[in-house]
Amino acid sequence: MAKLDLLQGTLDMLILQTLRLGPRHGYAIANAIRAGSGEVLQVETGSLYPALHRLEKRGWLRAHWGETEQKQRAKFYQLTAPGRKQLASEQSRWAALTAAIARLAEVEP
Amino acid sequence: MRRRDGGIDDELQAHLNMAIRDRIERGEDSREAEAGARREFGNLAIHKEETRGVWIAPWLESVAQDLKYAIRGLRRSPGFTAVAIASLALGIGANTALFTIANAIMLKMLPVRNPHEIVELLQQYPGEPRGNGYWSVPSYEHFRDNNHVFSALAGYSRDNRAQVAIGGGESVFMAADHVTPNFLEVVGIAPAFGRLIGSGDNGQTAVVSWSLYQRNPSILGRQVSIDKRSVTVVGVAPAAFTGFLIGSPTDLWVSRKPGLDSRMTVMGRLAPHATLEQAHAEFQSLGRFTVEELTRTRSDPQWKRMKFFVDFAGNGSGNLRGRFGTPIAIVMSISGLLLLIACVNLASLLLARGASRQREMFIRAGLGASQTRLIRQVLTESMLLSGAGAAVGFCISYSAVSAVTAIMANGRVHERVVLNLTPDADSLLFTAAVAIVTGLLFGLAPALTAKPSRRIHRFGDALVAAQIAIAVVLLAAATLHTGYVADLRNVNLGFHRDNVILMQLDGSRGHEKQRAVELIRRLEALPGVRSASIGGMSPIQGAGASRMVLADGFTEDPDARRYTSLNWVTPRYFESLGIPLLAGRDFRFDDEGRQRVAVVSQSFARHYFPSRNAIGGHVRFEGRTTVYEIVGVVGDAKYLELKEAPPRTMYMNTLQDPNIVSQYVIRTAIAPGAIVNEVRRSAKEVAPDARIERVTTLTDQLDASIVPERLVTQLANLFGALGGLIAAIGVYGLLAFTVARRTSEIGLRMAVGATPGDVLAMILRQALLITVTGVTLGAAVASQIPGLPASVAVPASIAVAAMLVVALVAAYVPARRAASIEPVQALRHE
Repeated sequence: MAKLDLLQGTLDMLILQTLRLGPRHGYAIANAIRAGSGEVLQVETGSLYPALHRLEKRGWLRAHWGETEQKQRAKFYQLTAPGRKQLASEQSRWAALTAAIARLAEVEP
Repeated sequence: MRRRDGGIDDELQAHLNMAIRDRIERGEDSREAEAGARREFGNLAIHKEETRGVWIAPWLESVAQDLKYAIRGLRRSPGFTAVAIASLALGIGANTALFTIANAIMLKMLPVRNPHEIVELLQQYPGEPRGNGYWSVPSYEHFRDNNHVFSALAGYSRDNRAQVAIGGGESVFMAADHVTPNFLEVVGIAPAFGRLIGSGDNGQTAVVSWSLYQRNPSILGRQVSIDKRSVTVVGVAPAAFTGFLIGSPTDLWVSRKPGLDSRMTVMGRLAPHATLEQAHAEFQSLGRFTVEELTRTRSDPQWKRMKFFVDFAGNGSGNLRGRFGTPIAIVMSISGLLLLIACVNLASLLLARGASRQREMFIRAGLGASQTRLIRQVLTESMLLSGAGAAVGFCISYSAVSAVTAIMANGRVHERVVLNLTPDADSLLFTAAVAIVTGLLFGLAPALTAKPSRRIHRFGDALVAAQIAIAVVLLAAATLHTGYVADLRNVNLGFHRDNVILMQLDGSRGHEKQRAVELIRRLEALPGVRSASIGGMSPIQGAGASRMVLADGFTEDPDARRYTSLNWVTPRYFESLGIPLLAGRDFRFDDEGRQRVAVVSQSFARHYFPSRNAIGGHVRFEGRTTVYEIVGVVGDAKYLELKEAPPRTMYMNTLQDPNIVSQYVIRTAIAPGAIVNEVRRSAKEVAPDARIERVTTLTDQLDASIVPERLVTQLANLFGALGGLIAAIGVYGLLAFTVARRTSEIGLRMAVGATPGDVLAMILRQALLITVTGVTLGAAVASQIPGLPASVAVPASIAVAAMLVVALVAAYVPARRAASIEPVQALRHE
């Protein structure tokens, strides 16, 4: 059922990471990831929304409808307690992974 | 799910809006901004689908997976699957067919405006099983002009044998309703073509049924002749409306000729403010008019006890419901039991299978399937089975409906039943509901018992015992009804039913007394004919005549007086029917032209001549002067119906009347079929102008009179046999499973000294315990079977004995297998 590939796992973590600072809607999340990565990471709309809904379904995000400053109705996502826990474990997994890759990169030039 | 869908649309649209706004703020013009944002955004529809898929896909996927597992599991045991689908299909098919019929004759509303307002006015003569609605025209007018509860009343007289000629063609018999001018308006239909009958039509117009119009598409606007009266066809009724009488569609509605005095069925619409109870209450007193009207010409103490009532008729009227309502209800409850036994059977088989699949379940649980998921999978399997059974059953129901309606149509001439039924949308809905309920019923128990324990095996035993119990009830019902019908056919008829040919000539033309006597002589001369005679009506024909009779020297309490049944016959009528002559003499040909004579039945003689010899006594009809001298006494014989006790009967010699009656009663020494053509030819030769209306045998006529009872019996026997078979499969399946499960245990027992005989006894003991429990329970329930004036003790005992034999035979095969287990192999098997 769950097709685990790196890309999806990464996007999930980036979304959780972005929402750490407070509720945001999809467009703002996409912008934040792009800006935060120095325009390196582009988030495809076609991946973003399925990911948001998947995270909501798993209970890591909670969603509500609200208005932006420009009076645009939008769906805002917010981290839940399990979401925070998930983020923490993803981060440590990520740290382990990057450390391991970094070590390999050092050993084999 | 739908709320989320809407949310996805809005959410993605918001994203797009915000992207466009940002681009405009960065200085792009609005068209450029929109195009750019859309390009970046990608395909909106696909994104929506994918996002929605997050919610739906896993669910769909798991259902598909459950289905895949279920199909794979069922294919692995094709024998079980075939038995399961077959037994469900039979049960569901039977129930769907009966529902279709019950719906048509009892539940379905007529296709008219506000059918819930439609009522029928009924009267019930004391002792009659059902009310009838044959009102005189003055009664109808009285009710119409003096009630406060109906917004309208209308009436019609049905003529099932109206002679109708279209466009100068040969006249054929059709069912015509002679209706009051407002009838079709009150009924509330809209014509498919043309107009309805109106108040100014004065008997000059007719509206034809859709099916008659289909057969004669040019009929609209033309003249047709109805009983030699010419009327104009002004309209065509809608296809859905075939009249009020269920099972007897109307061919045409004819504007009633002013002055026509034939009695009418009276229908009405309740006024908006009135309830059925109010209408009923008011009609109690309105009905008195009819009693007074009747009493003006004749007297009958029973009229004082006549009941008058208003009945709901929005779902049609007529006696079909009265005749077949209870039988269909009985058959439906029997077929319901058949379906129940099929469900219990499947539950027990699935339970046994479930237990043997424990290992598979444990593996799947170990691989991460949740408990609910496993339950859902077992339920998917049972739903798949019930769905397949329902699909096959729905197909079966088509032929079952035709088979049952064909049996229903086998009745006597005046009880014609025309039901062109096929399962419809209602039936499909019923089938679907039954499929879901049965799927849950037999799937839930196996689904919920996932853990292995001794209790499951007890539960399995209980399910098999329940099957045996239900089978006993089914078999007892079948035996009970079979015995009842056999009694109706054979016991205390008062005449001998075999080898009697009945031939009805059209009495109105070419059938004078001279020719009748000649025909009798010709028939008696035929080889194979024992005696030939004529009667006004033959036994159990269903129509007869009756009058109040006065006997000289006998007085009785006016309230105790009862009608005497009458028949007009020729000499040798009693001999032809095998009615014994107890005293005096039979009629003679030379009675013609002499003092009027009568032969009376034994109960007539006992009633009117309690302490005297009836022979030589004088009787006459009330209100008439002709005196009859009694010359003979014959045995009591049934008259109108097999279910009734023989009435007091008085026979007259038809040769003493100016007009002779025309039903030939011929006793043969050989099989009637071998001689019936000779009989027909003789009639043609002697009376070439007379039309032969009907030739049948007395046996067929008796059978035609008990169609509802025979229907119940045939179906009860079919369902009883199927029920017994299913219960046998249940016993076999349970024990086969038990033996398979205990193979190593049995091997061990045999290794330490048990003989094959011990093992056989051990398995049969389990079977006997289950069977005895089942039959005891079944017998207790069967003893409560309602509805028949017959004792259930004997049928129940027969059912118990039959079920004991069947169950033990079914148990013997697995028991034998157990007894032939090789200890060494069985132990190695583990």
